[in-house]
Amino acid sequence: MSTDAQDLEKLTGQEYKYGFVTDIESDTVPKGLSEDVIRMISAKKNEPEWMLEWRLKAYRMWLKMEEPHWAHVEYPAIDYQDISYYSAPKRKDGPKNLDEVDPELLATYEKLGIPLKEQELLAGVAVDAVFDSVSVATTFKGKLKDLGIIFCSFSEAVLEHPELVQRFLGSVVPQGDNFYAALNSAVFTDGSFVYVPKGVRCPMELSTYFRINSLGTGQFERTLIVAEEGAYVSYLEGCTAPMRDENQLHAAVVELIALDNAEIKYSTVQNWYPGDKEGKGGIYNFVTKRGKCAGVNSKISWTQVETGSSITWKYPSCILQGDNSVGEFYSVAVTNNRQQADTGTKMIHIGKNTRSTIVSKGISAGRSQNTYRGQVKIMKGADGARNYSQCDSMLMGDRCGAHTFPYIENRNSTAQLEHEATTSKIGEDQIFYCNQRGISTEDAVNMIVNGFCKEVFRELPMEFAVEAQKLLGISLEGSVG
Amino acid sequence: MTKEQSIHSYQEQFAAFEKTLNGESGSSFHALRREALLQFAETGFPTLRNEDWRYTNLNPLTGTAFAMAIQPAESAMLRSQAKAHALRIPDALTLLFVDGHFLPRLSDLGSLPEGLEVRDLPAVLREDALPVGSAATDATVMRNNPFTALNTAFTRQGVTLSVRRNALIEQPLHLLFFSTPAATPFVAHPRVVIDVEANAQCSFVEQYVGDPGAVYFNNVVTDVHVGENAVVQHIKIQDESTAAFHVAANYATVARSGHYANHYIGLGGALLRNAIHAVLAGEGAHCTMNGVYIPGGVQHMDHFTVTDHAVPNCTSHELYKGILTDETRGVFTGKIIVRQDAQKTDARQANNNLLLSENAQIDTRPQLEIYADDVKCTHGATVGRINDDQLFYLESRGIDRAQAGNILSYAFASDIVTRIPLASLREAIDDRLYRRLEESWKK
Repeated sequence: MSTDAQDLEKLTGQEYKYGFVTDIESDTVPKGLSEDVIRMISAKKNEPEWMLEWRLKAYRMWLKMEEPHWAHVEYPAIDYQDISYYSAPKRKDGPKNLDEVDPELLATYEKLGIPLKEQELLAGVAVDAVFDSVSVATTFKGKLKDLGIIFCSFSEAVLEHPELVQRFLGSVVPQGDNFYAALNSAVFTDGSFVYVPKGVRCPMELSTYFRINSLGTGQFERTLIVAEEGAYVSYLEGCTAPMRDENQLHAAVVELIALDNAEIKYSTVQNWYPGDKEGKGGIYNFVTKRGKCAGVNSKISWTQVETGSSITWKYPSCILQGDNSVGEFYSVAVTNNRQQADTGTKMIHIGKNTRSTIVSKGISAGRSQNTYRGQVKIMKGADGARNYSQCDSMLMGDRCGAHTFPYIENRNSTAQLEHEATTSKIGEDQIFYCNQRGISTEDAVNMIVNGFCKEVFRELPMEFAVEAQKLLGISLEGSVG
Repeated sequence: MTKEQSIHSYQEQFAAFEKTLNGESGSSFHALRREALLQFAETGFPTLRNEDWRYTNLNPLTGTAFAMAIQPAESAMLRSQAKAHALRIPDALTLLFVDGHFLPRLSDLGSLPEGLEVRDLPAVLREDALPVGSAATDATVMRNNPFTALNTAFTRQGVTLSVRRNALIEQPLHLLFFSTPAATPFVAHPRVVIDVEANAQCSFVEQYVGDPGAVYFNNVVTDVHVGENAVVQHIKIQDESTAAFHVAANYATVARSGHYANHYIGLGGALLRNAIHAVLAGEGAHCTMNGVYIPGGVQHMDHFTVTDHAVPNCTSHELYKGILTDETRGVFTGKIIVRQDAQKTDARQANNNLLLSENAQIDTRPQLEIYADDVKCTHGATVGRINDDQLFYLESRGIDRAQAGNILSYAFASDIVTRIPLASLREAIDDRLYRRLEESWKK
């Protein structure tokens, strides 16, 4: 075997470094899903009547829906009655500061490298950490409160800001939108809520670290971000998960609403447990993310770095309703071993002079399958709409797959659309060039891959960009095709 | 008529069709027909939920009752009638098909060049000799393509063309399909089997014409086998009546170092679906697919191409262009599949569209499905309208807007025509295209 091939094997064979289970007593609802379970979840969270009704309506819709199978992924059938739909850490009265937080939880975060304590000191990032399903620590609330920004857990928002939640919840992703969104609407346990009032520019990056714990629990997060007229907010979402054997279902819903002249930037680094080398275990990540540029001149920008999960089914989308609104999607998706990713975006142009940009970089290694699936739809009234899409795939190893499925649907003759895609591998000459100059194959590949993804990393907030590069390195640095 | 009723009417037609077969109903090919019908009834007509048919609503097709096409009487008048609609290709040999039936006596069979054999399909089937293993009769293919299954169930009419080893056929073969105006809508299921042996070269021009306004349904299957080192130019000119339905599936397999080129010119039909499934089955094989579609009025045109790189070292190039006017709808799906072992594949694909009217719609899906790493694959798609600066440039030089638009859209389309290697045909098509675009700009 050549050194290159050995390197390749060694590096792509790296184990998931963040696998461990924290032993904390959890308050878990028995497995299975029924109206009773939903009532129980709602009761546990002291939810008002309207919230329960909303959940039940979603559940009834879900019962009539079929699981979608159009994505380019394969997995054993999911038994929805074999999942526990609620799990909360034992301590329920929320801690007022970090000292009150269960030290074991803090230790877990430290292992993950989440600088919760540091962040409080370093400032700049307010963290609403979600451990399984209930928020246990929220920082910098006071500072944000002064500006009128609401940044809290979803359950808190339901209790304290019901009028806002009622106004915006489900306005972008209705309960019956798709199978997983309906499931989430029925059983979502917690998530984040952000409201930025008129004219306010949020001074720091808001961030939530999601973390799946508690064996055999599905994670159903709900995030709602509203930017009022002229507001600006940047939100970061990142996650890692402990190693386990059982497949875990994660069906989150994220809704973004940008009113006139508002801008929302949503960045994700996703690094859930991808399963072992044979694809055993690993998270099923079926997420519905959608933003609505409801007002004129509004802007929504999605940036994602997807390296984890055994199956990813995720299409962060933009509904460009307001005139002159802008949608952006920047994505790096990395798959290794037996991971499968079917990800992309939807840009729906409704308003006049709406613009969208799609830049997607897919990297597949091992025996993984990586699919870009994106839709650009120009409605009849979207005069002067403009879209530019670019999808590049990189293959490492001869047993993986890279697929590109764009859907371009145009109903307006004044629109201008472009789509281009390429597929390639790292050139042996490029590696040789680096080797010759004393750069190891591993470093060379890392460098080339990072260069390949640069357009997307550039869009990430600084602290995230560093983490993303590290993640990419862990996922497959050094793979030579 | 609902889809179920439509399927049922085909089943009834099959029972009647079976009775006309006499002794042939015991043949092994007829067993295949029966299987195909069962498969068709099981799969049914594709709906919008089927990814491959996402943008084409078949209700107008399934909602129309079609009678089986009947054998026309062979008369010299019929030939001149058909010729009146056809392109004039001076050096070509014509094979005439009327309502899906091959008419040997009205075709130029007397002067066939050496190495080329043309046989009437009913005669071939009487010998029970159609190559059953051919792509279109494959069980999986029929399961995924109900229209192909339907064609196989009713396969009787058509032709087999074989080009012998090392033969170099210089004269293009013009397969002219003419549909007569009939009182009731009818359906024809013609089948063309083309077998080109090693080192041979030939060109086929497949043309569909119909009486304007005539309502009929042509469900065509073409099966092409390109032998080692063989070169096949396959040109299809689809100029059906604007009230007609045309669903075609073209299966091609290309052996080692073979070259298959498919040139498509789409002008006619109310509802059109043109599918090409090309399999590059031998190393060094090459496939070219070029096409241009110019629907007018309320025409719906759906183009579906699959290039399957099954082995290493093959190349494929595809360029489809669309000019959409009035209230037309265009669909393009181009799929490039690179199988696991197909290393060193070079595949390129592009789809460019020009929208000339505010009510025209286009849906385009260029797709890459790649399972090998050492490959070069690209695809691209664009949608836009005519550049205002270019229009202004021409107008400022005294050319009126309609004329200027015509010149620019013609330039866009003629890019495809110039790639057709037959000079005589190029001229004929050029002329036809120019007139077509002129019509749409006059409006």
